[in-house]
Amino acid sequence: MPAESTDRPDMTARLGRSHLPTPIVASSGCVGFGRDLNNYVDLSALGAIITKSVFPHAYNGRASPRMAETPSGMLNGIGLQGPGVDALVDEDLPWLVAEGARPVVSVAGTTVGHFSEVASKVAHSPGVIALELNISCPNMERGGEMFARTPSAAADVVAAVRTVIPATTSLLVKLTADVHDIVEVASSCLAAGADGLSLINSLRGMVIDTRRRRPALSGGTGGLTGPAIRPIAVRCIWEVREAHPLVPILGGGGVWSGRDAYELILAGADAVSVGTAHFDDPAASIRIGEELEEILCSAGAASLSDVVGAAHESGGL
Amino acid sequence: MMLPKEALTGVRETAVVIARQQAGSYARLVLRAPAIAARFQPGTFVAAATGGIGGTILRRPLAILDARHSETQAPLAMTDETIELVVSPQNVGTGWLADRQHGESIDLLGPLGRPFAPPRPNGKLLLIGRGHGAVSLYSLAKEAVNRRAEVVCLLDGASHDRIFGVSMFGKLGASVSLTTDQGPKGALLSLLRDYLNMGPWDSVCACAPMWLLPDIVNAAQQFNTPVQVSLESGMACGTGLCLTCTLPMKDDAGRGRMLRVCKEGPVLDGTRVLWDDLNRVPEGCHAG
Repeated sequence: MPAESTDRPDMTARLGRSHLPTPIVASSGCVGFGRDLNNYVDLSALGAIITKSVFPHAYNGRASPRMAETPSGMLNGIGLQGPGVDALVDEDLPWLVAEGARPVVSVAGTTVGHFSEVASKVAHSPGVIALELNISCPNMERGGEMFARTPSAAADVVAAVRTVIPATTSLLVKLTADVHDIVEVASSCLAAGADGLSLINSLRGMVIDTRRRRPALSGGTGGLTGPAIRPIAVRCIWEVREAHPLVPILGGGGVWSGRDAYELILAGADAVSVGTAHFDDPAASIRIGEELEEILCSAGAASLSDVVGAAHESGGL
Repeated sequence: MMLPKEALTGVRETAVVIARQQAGSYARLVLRAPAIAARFQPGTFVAAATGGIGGTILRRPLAILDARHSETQAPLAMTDETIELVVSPQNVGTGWLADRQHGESIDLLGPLGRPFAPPRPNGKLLLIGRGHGAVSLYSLAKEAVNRRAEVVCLLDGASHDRIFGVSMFGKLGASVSLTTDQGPKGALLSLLRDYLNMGPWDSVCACAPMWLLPDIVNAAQQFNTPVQVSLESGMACGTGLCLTCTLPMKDDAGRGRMLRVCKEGPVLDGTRVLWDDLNRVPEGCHAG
């Protein structure tokens, strides 16, 4: 092995059934449908861009206040505000594809039927490279419990979507860490036909405004994101990778730098999503991709895929 | 009155403090920031990173008092392109920003948001600023005076020392009136009505806490006067990405919707805001 390689590492990354030219992906919910991000970066330079989660119909989302800052993080309660699947297919997806972006559509629903309806409409949209199922939605047909909470409910959604989309469409499932055993939920989704897993969604948290003596968010609880949750993301990626050595994993949670992305890759992520960091730096995805490439170069890695899950090999636990 | 069609998108710039001055509880910072200064328009803001103090990860939106380019007068003998910010320490993040000293740098994104409508030459503008709100009005007043408009400024505050900009607005050549909570109840609104009666005015421009704006908007409407307001809302990003700053307001077609303060505003037609529903998603709100 030469002391210093002058060749750039191959940064190709797996995402479900597809491959991306670079491993950094913009997370769902943090970059809208790309139109504002487009003011700051070239969307075609992102590995992929995951849209805001879309329901069959348009949603207003929650009332203000929708956010609170937390130590090394933030709490958000947007309520999945969005234009609905028809507007996505008619306007946002064609625009993204025309800009050279690689869109992944995040699918939401409060019934299994919603997921199928959205998935079947977007799967055939030109240029869509994968679907990411946001199963952290409440199942209104089962008392409002999150689909992602139980292996069987998660599998129901995956199985239903699998039957209405082409076999060649990459189907990713975004998991939450707010469960008893994330590996169990992951295994259930894979058995039901998922092509890959996206770990992790935001964590349920709350902030109390001590001046008003009430929850700071209008919805009470909200999703915690940012650097504070990164160790939980790393732990979840580690556990799922241990149980499933070959499954494509998109890892994310509090990634702010190339070093952070590298950490998640070593834990087992094939590609890395960046979300909250965009609020501080709209060019975060691009910058982190460049930093990661420098790190791999210095480490003498010939390719990104060589180091995926490497922390498991170095003695592990 | 035609408001600008779109919010500014801003650029990221490392700004260096080249002068600072304490003004009561406010810190006035002059920063070398050529890219932001060149793009500045009255009413726009910057999103300032806090250096991670106390684990804070979110930028703070700060109103821009003024910007100077090399071809304009520079009272503090500044030859670089600069912007001036006025920071009111409210939390650990703004406290850190207010403490920045000469030579230190601040990571800024800006200018952001929708600016005020450009003042009409030889027009008439009625400005209302309470406390820190007056910061956003200063450069508008300056531009209006430069265009030979008649400018009246009503400056309000909880107490006299909380009013911002008394001498600054006076020096511009604007007519300044002061009111505080210590005076007679309703003094500001009463004064506003007196002036509205002396119209017609091109516009009322108001920068004040959200609880005061509805009364100002109502008064302007009663006198058929256009009214621009600068809104405040908790913002995680300032660039339109996060959707945390939305408030219920009417879109271009008059439909109630949850719209972003950072993109529809912060300056917008005050009659568009659904003031009675600020902490709700109004029924009949058009979704999307």
